[in-house]
Parts: sequence; C-alpha cells; structure tokens
Amino acid sequence: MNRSLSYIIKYALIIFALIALAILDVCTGSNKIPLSDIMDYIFGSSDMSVDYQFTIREFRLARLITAMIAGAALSVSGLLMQTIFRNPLAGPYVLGISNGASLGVAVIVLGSGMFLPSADVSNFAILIAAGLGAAAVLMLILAVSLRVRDILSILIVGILVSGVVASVVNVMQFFSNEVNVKSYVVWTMGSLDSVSFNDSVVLIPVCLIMCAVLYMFSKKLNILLLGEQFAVSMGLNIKWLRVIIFIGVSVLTGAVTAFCGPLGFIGLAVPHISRWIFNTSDHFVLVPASMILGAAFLLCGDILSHTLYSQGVLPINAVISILGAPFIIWIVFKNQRTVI
Amino acid sequence: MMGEVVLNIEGLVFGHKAPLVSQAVDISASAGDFICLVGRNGTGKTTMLSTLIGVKKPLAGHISICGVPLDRISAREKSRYISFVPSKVEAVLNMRIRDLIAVGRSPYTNIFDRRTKADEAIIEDFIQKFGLSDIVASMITEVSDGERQKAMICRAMVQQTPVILLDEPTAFLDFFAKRKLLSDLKKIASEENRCIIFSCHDLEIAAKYCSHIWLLDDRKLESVTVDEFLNGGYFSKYQ
Repeated sequence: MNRSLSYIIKYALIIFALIALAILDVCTGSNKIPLSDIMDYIFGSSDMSVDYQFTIREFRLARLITAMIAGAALSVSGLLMQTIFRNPLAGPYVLGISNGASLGVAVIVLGSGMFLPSADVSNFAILIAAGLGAAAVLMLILAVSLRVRDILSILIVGILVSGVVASVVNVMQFFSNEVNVKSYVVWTMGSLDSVSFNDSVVLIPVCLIMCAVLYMFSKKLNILLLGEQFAVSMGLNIKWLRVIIFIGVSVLTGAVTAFCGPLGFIGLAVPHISRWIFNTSDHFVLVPASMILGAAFLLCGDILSHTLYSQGVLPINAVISILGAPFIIWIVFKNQRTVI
Repeated sequence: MMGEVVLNIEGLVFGHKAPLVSQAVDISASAGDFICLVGRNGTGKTTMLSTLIGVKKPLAGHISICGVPLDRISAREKSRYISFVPSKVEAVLNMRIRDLIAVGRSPYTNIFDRRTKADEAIIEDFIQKFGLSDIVASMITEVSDGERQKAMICRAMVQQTPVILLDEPTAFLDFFAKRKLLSDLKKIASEENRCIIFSCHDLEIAAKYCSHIWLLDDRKLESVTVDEFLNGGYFSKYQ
C-alpha cells in the first residue's frame, strides 16, 4: 500500500534528522567538540582525545539522553491530552500536574528560605518534592474524573487547580528571600544540564515503558476521536480509559518536570507537527512520530540554547518558545481548514 | 415478509434517576425492520437509545439481541451486536473517510487494530455499495455533513451488527438529502436484512419510508404501524 510506504519514508527522514541533531548536540557546549572528530570516532577511523571522551561521557551523553526522553515524553503526553480532551489546545499541563510539581519544588526551595538562612537544597530533594507535588494533583484529578462524566468539567477543574497552585507559589515567593526566589525562578526556566547520567538511568525506563504502555491504547484513542457516546457504543469504558491515560501522562510529565523543570510549548506543538507531517489522526502512527519529533525538537532547542549566546546557556524554555512559536503559527495558517 | 426477531426488549424501564416511562417496555424488532422512534422533546428518545447502546444502564428489564442478553456480555462484545450512528459526526483533525469507515472493524481486530484481508474486503465492499469510492481518500473535514453521515452509516454496516441505531440521522440534512438518506436506509434494511432503528423529528418524511413506528408518548412506548400512527390522533392531540 502506498500509504504505508509514505509513512516509512517519513519515519526514515525524521529518524535521520534526529540522529543528525543528536550528533550535533554532542558537539555543542561550553567545550566545543569538532564535528569531524565525532564522525571519525563513530565510523571508527580514529581515536578521540581522552579529553573529549571524558566530556562526552560525563556531560554530553546525559544531556543528550535527557533532551530526547523529555521531548518524547512531553510530546506523547500532549498528543494524548489533545485526544482525551478532544481539544487541539490541550497539552501535558492542562491537568495542572506540572504546577503540582512546581508547588512541590517551591515548598522546598522557597519554604526552606523562610526558616533557614541559605537555600542549599539538593537535587535529590527537588526530585522528591516535584514527584510528590505532581502525585498530589494527580490524585485530585483522578478523584474528580471518577465522579464527573463531562470531560469539559475535568478540564475546568484542571485549569482551576493550576491557577490555585500557581497563586500559592506566588504567595510563597512574596514571603521568601531573594536568593531563594531566584533559584526557584531559574528552576522554572527549565534545564537539561542538571541531570546526571545516573538520573537519566531512572528517567529512561520510566518514560519508555510508559510510552509503550500508552501506545497500547492507540486503538481505543482512535475510536475516542469520533466522540464519547460513539466510543461507548464501540465498547470503550471511557472512565477507565481516562484514568489510565491521566496516570500515564502524569508519570511522564511529572518525571520530566522533576528532572528538567516545567518545559513548555513542546507538548502542545509537537502533536500538531506530527499530524501535519504524517497527515493522519491514527495514534499508531502519531505516538511514535510524536516521540521522534519531540526528541528532535528539544534537541534543536538545546543546541540553540548552547550556541546563541557565547557566554553561557540560555534558558531552554525561552529558546523553544521564541523559536518554536512562529513555526507553529505558520503550520496553523497552512492547515487552517483542519484546525477546529 | 417477516424476518426473525433480532432485538427483544423485556420489562425495560429507562430514565436518568427517575423512570421516564410509567409502564415497562416490552417490544421487539425483526431483521429487515426499518423503525422510526417518534416522541416529542423530553419524552426520552435519546435516553432510550443511550440505554440500548449501553451509555446508560437500564433501571430495570432486559435487552437481548439474537437471543444473547446484553447484560451478560462484555461491552466490547456488545459492539458486535449493536452499532450506533450519532447525529453529528465529529470533525476530527486529519482523519480520512476511509479511516472512519475502517473503525467499523475494530470490534473484530486485536489490540493493534490489525485488519485481515477479509476485513479489508468487507470495507471495500461497502465503500462500493455506498458509492463512496470518490471521497474515501478525503479528510473528514473536507466533505459535507451529508457525506460524513453517509460514511458513518457505511461504518455501521462494516461493523456487521444485526441491529443499527441512528440518533436523528436527518437533523443536519436538507429536504432532498433527508429523503435520499431514508430511502437508502430502507433499502439497506431489506437488502442486507438488518434491523435499523432511528429517531427522527421529520414525521412526514419518516412515515413515508419506515416499516413501523415506535411511539414514545404518555410515558409509554408502543409499536404501531404507519397507518395507525397517522390516523391515531397523535397529531391532533398536540395541535
């Protein structure tokens, strides 16, 4: 069938782009590694200097893996949220999960400053706090979605919870000291550099297993696209489907937020890019496509955040939004007819 | 000519929390029947349909299709006995008409939705029968309401259920399209030997094509012939 052939070609192209970006990403950083050295090393024609090998092993690889996993996880989350809420504006953050994570981090970063003079919070503590915050919001959303049938009500609850949690964080910022506010704000700007290789060992299996599990629900999600009443007539249990997807998305976004901070934009934009490139609504195609494109998208952001400003690293959140938004606007205009 | 009884409803009471009928519903329908569910706004037509497709649980009573009680089988299996066409098909982003029709095979496919050659043959067969070949490659958002509706009905045929329910299929169609749709459905019911039940507010057109009318009035549901319906005082009662 020529349609599956076109999918194969498109997949091949985006995978190729991803590999190219990954190699480029390994080159970029405060200590630049020449592309030729890496190419030679990959194709085994020469040895790389011990210096470069150390940099790659200790810093670049962790950053590369984090960027790819985070991009993939957020994109899949966004895709699933857009389907479950049947709203092209939904993203991984509509449930307020990442705000929950932010609250957790705020409590520990800002809260510590209220009682202790200096903010010296370990990375590990931030992880735990973010995880707990995300879990707390998830529990609330699950409780609501098991009682409420109307998906719009769940969306409203999610948005309100986000708002309340953000306000609580604001109040905490108001009462906190400058140093802590700054370190909290820096966390919210997102970072791929704070993940060590050991951390990424946790992130990889969690995210990949979750994405694989969610992929198994593609058939159900394809049916859900045609409306909830119809989906029930096809034998779907909507409530449980929602619960499972919410748990999956929360684990993905919670884990990514805990490690990298609240990375915006990707989860909203990449599913649209995937639909545009593959021109389909089939989740069996879109889930892997979103993972690859999400990984590639975040790598682009990472490369640019390291190269645009020679004196240091720009906040990744700002970079992906500034550079990504015009691209999305262009897609929306091109695709106008099919965007509801 | 009477087909075998495919849908049998016994002692059914439906409603949200309070029953919408004062008298339990005992009614049956046969293969080849083309039944119009008639009732004024608020009498419970939609609730009745929702109960049949399993969105709502019946307050009492049993529904069985081809002798299989629906409350004894899983929701997934149920979709092999009864299919549903909503009144408005969602304008899904980037979905092709063919994908929509292929969803009809999903009750028979595995978790990865792998369709066999036989599944594809059934899909192609009905695409031909419905004359949809020209638009199967189009996006759902590119075709008219009428064409989308037709594709959704084609999808229900592909699902190969003995009973097909349609919720106000004529709601978004113009006068001529309504007549065309109902005459097509009537033909399908008799040629494919399916039992088709639809709710409708266009009583004159519906009465022209359907074989029976299920009249939901005075908190009870009864099956009447078209003649009985037209002469039974239903119209004069509400004028």
